[in-house]
Amino acid sequence: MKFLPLIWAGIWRKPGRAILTLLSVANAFLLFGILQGFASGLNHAVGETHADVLLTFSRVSQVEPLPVSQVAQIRTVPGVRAATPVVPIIASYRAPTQIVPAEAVDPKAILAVDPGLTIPQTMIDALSSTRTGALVSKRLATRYGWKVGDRVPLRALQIQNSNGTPTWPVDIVGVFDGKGGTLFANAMLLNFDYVDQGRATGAGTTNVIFVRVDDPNHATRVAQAIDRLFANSAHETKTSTVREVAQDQIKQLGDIGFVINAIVGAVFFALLFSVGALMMQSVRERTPELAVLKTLGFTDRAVMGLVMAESLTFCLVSAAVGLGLAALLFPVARQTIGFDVQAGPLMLAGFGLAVVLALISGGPPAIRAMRLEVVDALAGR
Amino acid sequence: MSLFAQIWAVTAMNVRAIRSRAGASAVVVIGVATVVAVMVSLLSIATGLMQTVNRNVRPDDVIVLSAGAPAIYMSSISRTAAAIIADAPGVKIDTNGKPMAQPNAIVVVEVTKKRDGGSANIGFLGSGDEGARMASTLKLLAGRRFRPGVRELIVGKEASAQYRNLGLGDHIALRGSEWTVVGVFSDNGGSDENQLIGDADTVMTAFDRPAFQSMSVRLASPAMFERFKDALTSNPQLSVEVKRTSDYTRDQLKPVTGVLNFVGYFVGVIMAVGAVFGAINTMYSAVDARAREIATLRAIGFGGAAVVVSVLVESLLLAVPGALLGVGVAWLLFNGHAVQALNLTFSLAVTPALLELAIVWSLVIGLIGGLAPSVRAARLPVATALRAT
Repeated sequence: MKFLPLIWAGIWRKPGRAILTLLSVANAFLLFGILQGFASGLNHAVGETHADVLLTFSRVSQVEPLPVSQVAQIRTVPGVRAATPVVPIIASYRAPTQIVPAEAVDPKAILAVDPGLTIPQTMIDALSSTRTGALVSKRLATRYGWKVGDRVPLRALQIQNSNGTPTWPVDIVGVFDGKGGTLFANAMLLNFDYVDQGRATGAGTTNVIFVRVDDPNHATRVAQAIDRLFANSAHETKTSTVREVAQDQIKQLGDIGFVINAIVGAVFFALLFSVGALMMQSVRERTPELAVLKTLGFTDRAVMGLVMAESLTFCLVSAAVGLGLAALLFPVARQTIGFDVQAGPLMLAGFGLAVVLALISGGPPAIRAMRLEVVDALAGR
Repeated sequence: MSLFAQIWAVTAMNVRAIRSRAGASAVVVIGVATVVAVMVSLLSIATGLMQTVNRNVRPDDVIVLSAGAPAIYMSSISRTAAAIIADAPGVKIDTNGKPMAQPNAIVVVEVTKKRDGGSANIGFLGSGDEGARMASTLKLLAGRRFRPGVRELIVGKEASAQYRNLGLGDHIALRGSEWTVVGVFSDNGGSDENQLIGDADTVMTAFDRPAFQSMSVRLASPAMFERFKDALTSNPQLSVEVKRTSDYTRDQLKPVTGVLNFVGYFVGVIMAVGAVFGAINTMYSAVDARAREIATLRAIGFGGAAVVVSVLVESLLLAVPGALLGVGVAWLLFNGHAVQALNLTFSLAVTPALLELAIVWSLVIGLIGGLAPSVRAARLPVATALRAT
């Protein structure tokens, strides 16, 4: 510890160079923090999704409609607590870029289906009693400045109204708090009957059926029972938990983990050179000083240790700056994409990487410092 | 001595000195190479995807969808509408005197991956004789074409290789009904190789479709587009949208390519910032190491401008080879590398456009990195620098 001032002075010998190198290393750790934070947040988000909610799609494909009569049949399967048809409607508000994720649902069943959804019963009643009613999440209401009583003309991108237009007027009857792990955190909820009876084609069908099971441990068994119910019928189903569906979607994107590791690997490969060059240059310039230390009685090993400690301190400080900046971004990620980054393991991995970086890039200069012959160094040879 | 001669002389001196400072110079080369390699590799994903999807799309190909349909799967074209569209002006007439217009039925079907037994969704296109005539790049590798009226299909070679029960002669159950694989085709590496093709009417009956989904049309010439489009959109019997096939595929993939490109540029920008710091460092140390030489040149009459330019040139001379190295590495590792994502097999592509982008980035990194050091070099107090050891 008593050598800390010496180490510190060594690092700041050339302040300009030290700061530039520090910034480039910190920058790399910032990138590491963002990428790994994203990956961990994604995995965490998938892990957090409800294990007791099942999604039933058509076996043919997720865009193929299912008859709504299947909802009632699913409710009879033992272990099913509730089921509702859900028709997702990608709609836009005034401009085509103002996307509104609307979901046509059965208001009576929706609370029972999504364990995270906390909507007061009065709002649910208001939705059931207003045919053209809509409940919007607080986030959506804030974004478009909606309040209860507003009439909003939605423009549905794929579901035509029976009057031949894509316009669906809805009346906002409630604004709900979308917090707390709900599947509809960002959504607008509409009456299934309004959409179903009003659409030009496809009446009596749904795209997906949300099913809540009594016991998450029986989810797989119930899912199989549902699919067996419709086996060999004209509308075979495929039921899986929300978690499985989310995992499948991530897999569709390819191997994210591999890509991130490859990027981080390349970045640190480049860093080895820049930190290594900094340390090498610093040792070369300080040859006389190091020789003086040895003359004063520092052993070869102590001088080597000094250089290594310098490299280590430098990398850890840089890593702390970079990871600290990344940590500042994590709350932003939570707000914008709803990711909860697991900061602890991430920091640990980051500092571990900093140590490895310091050992590899500090090694050659440290060995050079150790092998320094006092007489030669002082003579400037 | 003219300015150019001065610049040349100082630059030549700098370049000769690069070798003696190999370690520090390598920081710039490797720094830029890494930025470029990572960024180009990431961008090659979207580039490759677009290339694969657009491989066999011609400028005179158009697609007709029902008005407001965001994608082919949500579109619906009736038989009457299909007949009207085929007779519209601007449609190319084939050698048999028939208009080159093919109504398509498209369904998504679930298949099983050979690799891990997982499920995947692929497209099943219901086509016909005109469709076959338009798909000139499509070649049967084995077997024969499907016959209309029976549940027979041909399969693209990628789909055949990746999914179960899609070999020649196999029977595959799609929504309870059995289909026979009667042929395997290649399509010049296009995205069709990931799908199944059968007869349109048979597909519609089997999957209970009341109407076609889309209409593929070959125009007499690409310039006929407006005329064809106007004829259809002004026809009160129709409610359709007309798009060039290349525009349609680009719009369809925009969400995906947008995200991929955003990630590429985002990572690229952050890494470039790091590389700029590295370059500044190297160039400062280069200037410091050469302080006496620079001071000598200034003393014998070399101008400040010559010194500034020469340091910038040295910086660029380190950065540009870095970019070439980076693109080279990305090309060796990933060009033509087949990936399977989005239920498609496509090859990553490192294109000349990406090389150009990489060189521009390296020039920017080199210039920013060399700027401050070059100014310092020009401002060196001559007397002090000459006396320094």
